[in-house]
Amino acid sequence: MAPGQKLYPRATVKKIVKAHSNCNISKNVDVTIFLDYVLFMQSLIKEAAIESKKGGERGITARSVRKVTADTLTKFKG
Amino acid sequence: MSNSNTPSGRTPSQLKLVTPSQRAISADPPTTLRRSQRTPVTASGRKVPVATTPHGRAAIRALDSRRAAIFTPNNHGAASRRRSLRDLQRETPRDPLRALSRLLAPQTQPLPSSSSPDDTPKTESDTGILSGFVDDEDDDDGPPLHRPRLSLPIEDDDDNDDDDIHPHRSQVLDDENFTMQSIEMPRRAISEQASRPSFPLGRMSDYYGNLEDEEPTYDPAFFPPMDAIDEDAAASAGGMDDWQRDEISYAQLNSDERRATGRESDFGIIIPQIPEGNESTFMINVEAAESPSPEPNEPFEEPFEPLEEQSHVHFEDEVMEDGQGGYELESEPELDEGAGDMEIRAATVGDGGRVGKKKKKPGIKVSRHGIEYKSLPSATVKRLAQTFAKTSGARGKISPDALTAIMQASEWFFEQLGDDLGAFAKHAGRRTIDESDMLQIMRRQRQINSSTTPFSLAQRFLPRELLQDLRMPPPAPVKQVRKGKAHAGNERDEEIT
Repeated sequence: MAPGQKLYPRATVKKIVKAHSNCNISKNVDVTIFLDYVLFMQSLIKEAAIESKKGGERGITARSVRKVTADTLTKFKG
Repeated sequence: MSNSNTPSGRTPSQLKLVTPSQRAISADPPTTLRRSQRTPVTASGRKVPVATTPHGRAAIRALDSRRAAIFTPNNHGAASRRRSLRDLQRETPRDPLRALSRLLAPQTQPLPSSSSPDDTPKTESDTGILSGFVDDEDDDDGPPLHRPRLSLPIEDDDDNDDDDIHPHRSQVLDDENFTMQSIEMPRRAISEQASRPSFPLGRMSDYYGNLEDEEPTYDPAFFPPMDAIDEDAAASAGGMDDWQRDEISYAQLNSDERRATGRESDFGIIIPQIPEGNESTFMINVEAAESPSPEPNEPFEEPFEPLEEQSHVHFEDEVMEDGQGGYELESEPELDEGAGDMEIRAATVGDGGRVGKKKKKPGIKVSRHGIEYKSLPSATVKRLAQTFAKTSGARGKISPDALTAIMQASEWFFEQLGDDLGAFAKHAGRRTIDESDMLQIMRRQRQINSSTTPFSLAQRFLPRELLQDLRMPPPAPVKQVRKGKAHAGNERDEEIT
C-alpha cells in the first residue's frame, strides 16, 4: 500500500458487519475484520488472475472473478 | 567323522554340505569328539598359523561353528540345522528322481489333463510334496487312480450341494420368519397409512410401503435366499428339497408377484385377501409413496430451506430496495442480467441519487436483520484489487465489470463473515462480537496458525498508516497491540468517515 493512500473506512466496515451479524462489535475487531477482508481479496484476485490466465484472457475479467468467487467464499467460511 | 572326511576331499560343492554336517555331528555328541578334536587342532592351529590338512580345516570350521553355536541360542539353532541337514541328506538320493520327474512332467501332463484337471489338485493339494511325487509315480500306473477321482468329485459335489443347501434352508426359514415379522408390520402400517395420510411417525412402515412398490430395493433386503436359491438352482440344480423347488419355481414363475408369494407363503390361508390387500396397498402406496418419499429428505432440508428462502427474500429486498447497488445476490449466471437490470434501474430511477462514475457511493442496503448499511466504497475495493492484481502478475487494470463482480464477492464475504461472527458471539453467549471471535474465524479459515500471527498478517497487508498506528502503542504481545490498534483506529474512525 502506498503510504499516502487513504485508509479504508473503518466505520463502514463496522456497520456492514454489525448489520449482517446483528451484534455489537467491540472496539478492536474491525481492524481484524478488514485484515481478513484484505486476505480474502488477495485470494480472490489471485485466483481470478489464475483463472483469467487459464482462460487466455487479459487482465482480470468479471467472468474469472465470478467463477472464482464461490470457491474463495467457501475457503473463507468460518 | 568318516562321513565328513570323505566328501570334504571330493569337491568344493559338497564341502558346503559337509561342513554343516560336521557341526551337527559335533553338536550331537558333545564331549568325546570335542576333546579329540580340540587338542590337536588348537595346538596345531595356534602353533601353525595355516591349517594345512583337510582335517585341520574341518577342525577349525568345527571350532568356529562351536563358537557360533555358543554365541547364538543353542538348542533351536542346532535343532534347525540338524533338521535341515537331515532333510538335505534324505532328499539327496531323491534328487535324480526329482530330475526324472521334472523331465517326465511335461510328458505326463496330458494324462492328468485327460482325466480331469480340476479334481486332481483337490486331492493332491492337501497331501504333501513328497506324497505328491509318490502320486506322480502312481500316476504313471494310474488309470485306477483316476477312477476314484471321478467318483470322488461326484461325492464332493453332493457334499457341497448339501453344504450349500443347509444354510439356505436355515436362511429361508429365518427369512421367512423375517418376512413374517416384516409383512405383519407393513400391513398394519399400511392400514394405518390409509387412515393417516399425513406423516405417521412410523417411518419404517413408510419404507416398507415404498419398498413393496419398488422391487429392486425390497427384494435383496427380504428375499436374499430366494435369489440365492435361484442362482443355486440354475448353477447346481442338485439336491434340493421338493419344498424348496416348489418355492423356487413358484417364485420364478410369479416373479412379478414375489411380494405376493412371500405373503402367500406366510399367511397361507388368507390367499383371497392378498390381491385385495395388494391392490389396496398399491393404491395407498402410490399416495403414500409420493408423500413420504420426500419426507425423509425434508427434515434435513428443513433447516436449510427457510434459510435460503429468507436469504433470497432479503437479497431480493436488498436488490429491489437498493436499486443503484447493481448487485444481484441470487446466483452468478444471473448476475449479468441482474447487474444490467440494476444498472438500468439505477440509471433510470436513481433512488440513491448518486450513481456517479463507478457507483461511488452505493446505496443503503438492508441486511437480513433489517439493519441498513452502506456497502464498502468501490474505490477502496478497487484499490485493493489493483494492488493484489499487480502482485499476482495480472494487469493492474480492473474493468468495471470485474469491479462489480469483486464488489459483489466482497459483499457476500461480509455477509458471510457477519453471519459467522454473530454465530460465534451468540455461541459464546455474548451480544458483542469480540476479537476472540474474529481470531477464531481466521483460525478456522487457516489464515492464522502457529507460524502466522495476526500481527504479522497485519504488518504485511494493512496500510502503513495503520501499521504506524499499530506501532504507536508499546510493543507488546499481539492482543495488547490490537487494543492499541483499536484505540488508534477509533480515533481515526472519526477522521476518516
